[in-house]
Amino acid sequence: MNDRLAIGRLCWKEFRQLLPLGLLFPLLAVIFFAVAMVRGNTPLVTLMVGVFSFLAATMPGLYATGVGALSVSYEKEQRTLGWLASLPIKPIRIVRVKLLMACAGLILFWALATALMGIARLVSRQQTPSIFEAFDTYAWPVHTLFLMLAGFALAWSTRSGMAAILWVLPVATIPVILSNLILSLFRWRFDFEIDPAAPVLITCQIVSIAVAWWLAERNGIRAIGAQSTVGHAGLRSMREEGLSEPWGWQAEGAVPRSEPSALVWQFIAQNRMVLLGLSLMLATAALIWPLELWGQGVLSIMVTVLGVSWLGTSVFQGDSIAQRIRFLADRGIAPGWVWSTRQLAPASIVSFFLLGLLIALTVAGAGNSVSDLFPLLTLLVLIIYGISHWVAQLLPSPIIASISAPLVAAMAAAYFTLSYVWFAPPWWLMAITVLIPLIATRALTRRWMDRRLGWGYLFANLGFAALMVILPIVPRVARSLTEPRMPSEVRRELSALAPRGISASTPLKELVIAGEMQGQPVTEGEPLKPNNPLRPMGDEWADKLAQVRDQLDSSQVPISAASGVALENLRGIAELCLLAEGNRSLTPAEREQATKIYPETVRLLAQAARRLRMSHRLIEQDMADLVEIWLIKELRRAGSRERLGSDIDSNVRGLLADRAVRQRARERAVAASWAAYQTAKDKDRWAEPEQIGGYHRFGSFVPVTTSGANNGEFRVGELWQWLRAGKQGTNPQRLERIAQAWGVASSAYGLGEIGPYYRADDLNRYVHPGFQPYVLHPGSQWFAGWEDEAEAMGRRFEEGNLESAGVPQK
Amino acid sequence: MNTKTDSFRSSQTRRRWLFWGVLLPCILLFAVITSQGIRQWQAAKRFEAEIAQIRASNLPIDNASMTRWFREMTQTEGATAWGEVLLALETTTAPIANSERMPFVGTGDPIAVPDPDRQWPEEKQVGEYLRWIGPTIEKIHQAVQLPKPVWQPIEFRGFQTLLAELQSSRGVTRHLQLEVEHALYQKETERALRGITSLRGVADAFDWQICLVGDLVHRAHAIAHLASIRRSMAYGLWDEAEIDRIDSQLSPPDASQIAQRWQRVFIGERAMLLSSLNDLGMTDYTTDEFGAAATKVVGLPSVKVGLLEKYYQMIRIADGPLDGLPDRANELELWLTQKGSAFDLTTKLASMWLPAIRAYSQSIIREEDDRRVTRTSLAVKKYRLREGQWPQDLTALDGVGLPANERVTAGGKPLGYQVDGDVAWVWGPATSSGATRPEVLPERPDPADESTRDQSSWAMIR
Repeated sequence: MNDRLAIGRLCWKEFRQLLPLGLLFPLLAVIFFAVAMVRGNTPLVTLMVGVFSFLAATMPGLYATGVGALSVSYEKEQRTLGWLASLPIKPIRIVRVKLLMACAGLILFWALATALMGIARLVSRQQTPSIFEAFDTYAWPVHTLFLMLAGFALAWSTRSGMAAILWVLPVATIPVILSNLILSLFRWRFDFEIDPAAPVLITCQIVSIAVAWWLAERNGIRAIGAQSTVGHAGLRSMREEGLSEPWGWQAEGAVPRSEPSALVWQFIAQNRMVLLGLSLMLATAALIWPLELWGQGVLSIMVTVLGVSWLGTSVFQGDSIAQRIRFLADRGIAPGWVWSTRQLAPASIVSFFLLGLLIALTVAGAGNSVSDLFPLLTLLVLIIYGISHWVAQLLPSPIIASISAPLVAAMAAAYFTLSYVWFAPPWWLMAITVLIPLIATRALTRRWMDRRLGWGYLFANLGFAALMVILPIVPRVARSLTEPRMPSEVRRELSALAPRGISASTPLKELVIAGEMQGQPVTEGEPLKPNNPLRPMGDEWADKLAQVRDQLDSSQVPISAASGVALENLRGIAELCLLAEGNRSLTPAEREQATKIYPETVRLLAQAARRLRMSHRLIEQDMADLVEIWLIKELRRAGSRERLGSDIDSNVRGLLADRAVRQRARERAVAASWAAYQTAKDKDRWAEPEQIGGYHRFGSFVPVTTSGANNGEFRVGELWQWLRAGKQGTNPQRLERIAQAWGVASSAYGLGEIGPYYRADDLNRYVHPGFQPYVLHPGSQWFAGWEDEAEAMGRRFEEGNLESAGVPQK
Repeated sequence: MNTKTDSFRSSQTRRRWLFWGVLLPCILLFAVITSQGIRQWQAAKRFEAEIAQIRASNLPIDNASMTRWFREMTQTEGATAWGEVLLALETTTAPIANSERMPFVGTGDPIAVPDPDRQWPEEKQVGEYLRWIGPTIEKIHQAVQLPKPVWQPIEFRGFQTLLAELQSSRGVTRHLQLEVEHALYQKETERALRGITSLRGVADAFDWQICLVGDLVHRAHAIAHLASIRRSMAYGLWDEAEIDRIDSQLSPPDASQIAQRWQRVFIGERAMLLSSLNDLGMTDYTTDEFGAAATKVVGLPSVKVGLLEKYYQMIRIADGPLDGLPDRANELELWLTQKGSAFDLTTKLASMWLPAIRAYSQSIIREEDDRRVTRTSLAVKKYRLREGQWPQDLTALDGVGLPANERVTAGGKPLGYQVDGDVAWVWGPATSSGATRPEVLPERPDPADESTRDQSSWAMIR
């Protein structure tokens, strides 16, 4: 064979072997970013992107850990090592091709990680660290090279890929331990001008890399050389894998075909090194968790996740190697027995781990912050185990399964958490969902044993996966289909009336009156100056009024409900002016000033009510109602007409009497609020809009839901039907329904013992809450008694019947 | 010698042992998980039973019942009048350039040492301000005559309940304090006495025993009332009849009233908690996925029952002598934050919802100590008016009818007393020590020394 062609073929073979691993990470990246795009920049997504950034930075490390096992142990699993040895190529060249291809892969992964972290920074708007910030030294990239070479050295000399990966973990600490030893020995002797840790560490890493490279080549040459000297590669392979020695119960000639104890024993014998290594890993994790310093850190989580996940993969992994499972399949061992006995030993170790952790946390005593989370940790461990063993059954290559299972399990755990939070399924359904991996592997064990791993097997797995994804959503979808909706005729009416091009995010041209009645800004610690010039308080009020008047006159756009503070201050000034009228300690001129200011406040508030009515939002209509109710109370005062002057009095009465304008404004606002809501829904079908008609949802987090739309529809639909029904259609049942739909206490709608204090049916009992936006409730004052009084005040006044118009007679 | 069959049998036995050995941890874990499941089921049943019992006792369990409970506890007659007072005082600002430095009303400090002989440079501005808001002050005087406590339109929403009116009411007290201070400076005793009486009235009007914040604001009003009385002692204006009128506002609270108040406060807190558990929108914790996930955990029946148990303990510790309340509260607070078992989720996740009972109990003791210092200082002045000289020590106050148990702190320590020339001093325990039973300071606080003058309540009596 042409030497160059052979090397090319080898490179191509290596590339194909590494490809699944190379594809896995970009795939995960796509899923992460898809979630980020769907959900927007919620804190969770920011965290997810942050976690992904971390994963992206650790990705080359995971690759470096697994590539040796993938490249070498795969050959052993597939029994192609003998074939490689038979090629007319020097073993050293084969080994170097593998090493160089792995190095190229590592460089590629670092490039990919850098790019993905850059994208993550863009998505999270710079909230995640750059790759250089995440690992602020060059030690990590260098370390990944060491990991990779150590992985090769170990993979050449160990029997299984899993064992090689397990060994990499303790070996990875060698340069760090070495550098710390050197530092602890020599630190006191030398006066380093720079921090000695980095130079010492990098030196140790370089030395370790050289040794690891040498070992990788030496072990590789030996392994390939050994293949070429053995007559029957397959037999050698069998011997390597511990299969050449017949099992005890085979030799005995009395195979207990379905005896579970024998199957368990066989599983343990087959995987004893892996199980031992993972047991040690989890024992370490159980000891780390209660330590406050490390228990909350990445180390305990990573060791637990990796240990449990690899235990999960060990359930089916040992039998996948060299298709060992066929031995049991061919002898007619029941799939049920195989499935359950394969689970038993790993499940036992997981149980040991959890029970040990429970004991460790209890011994650690009170105040341990992790122990609160033990039940959640248990759940997480069971999920990771379940998903990982499913991945191991699905993927034919145990190496790829081992590398990908922790990531897939972590993503599944994140999905279970989010779906429970977002879709709020009942707990029992969630429990079933969590059990689906076990159900899936049990159902597909027969096919797996028979190695019927074709499309049918793949689709069956996909079916179970789809079920797992869909099941938590089902109750929410069912609720959305059954919950009350807006009647179609209401929808038509609203659509016809709604102005075009309105959306909640479109900046409205509206006026927010600035009117904080605070004094001048104060410098901290500044004393009250004795010679502070005194100024009549009336002048202060007049100035405030002038500020509001100027703002109102500056444009003719609607007023925003955010002006409530300013309007509340106007109300306060009116109250103070009335009090000043009877204040004998004031001079006549000062009282006169207050008398002049009062009608101006009333006029401005009446003007504000008109401008609020112009708004296309529901909340401003409700604020206008409260302003008008306050105006009625002012008109009820003795001598109000004289105090206000006939112009202002007539103006206010005209405003109050115009029921038709009020009704039209409300209808327009409901329709426009509905249109804005719909536009927001169309823009983001996954999220419930932040507000309807200016009313923000109380407790702003609402899960991703399809029912949110119906809920919003129902709310608006109820209001619209009430508007159409008018006073005649106002009854306690309807008010109760609306209160419930909007999540407001029914007393706000006049119901119950204290309802009359909230709803202005009887102004003698009603307690005015002021104009702050938080006192408003959708439509809570519609068609209440105040409207009749308002109309009467205006209409009868026009008819000249002052007394019945509510004009107090002197 | 072992035969082949014996060997086979022994290996089979080993395998069986191995099998059961491997199975055992799984069984144990399953048993632990199952027991936890049963625990949750039992907790759910118990929670329902507890709620039914609370409901049967006509106590609040949610927003609707809180609304009813609040209404039953208060009077609606003065709602509008008080609303107008709050509105006026919220709106008004002193017509001076740096009004925020106005004593009491702004963020400025009150006059450090009340002294009729000392010039009050800001008096002119204060007088001008009070001239304008005089009618509002008058309105307060009228409002305190109305039935108390006063109802206000509060919308209960669990822990998200806004108590805006309650917070605004602090402005009423501040204005009255300014009014009293100014009246004392002007030697207008009747005006000052009226202000002092109204200060007590404001405390009673906003005595909302519905939650911790409600009661703390009430205590702030009450402490302001006591502080104004003590400050008034420096002016030496009161005659014996006036002292008796003031003293009548300082009658000692009945032990059962204190216990009842404590219980009501925590019953209200419990209702707010239950509202928040039933509707997660009533909390701050649903603003993102993390909070929502945390509240899912808090919604577990065992956690809810654990919380109810903790509130039950909180309600109960009011039973017993007043002086031991901070100790009991301290002990309970330690217990509340201690871990039960590894399955006890209530500690960390729910402790953020548990009120600070130790600090609350200390505020009760502080008010009581303040009251005793104030009452003792009035008695000292009364003795001086009767006998023409300051008492040698506080035991001499038996002669003016001050019981011995009013001359000691709530913790039983004798109050501080000292005569310094023409001025007598009475002072109480250190309030800033944080101790459950604070010691009375060995020497009288120095009002001129900013670092010590606020360490305890004191009265300078002329």
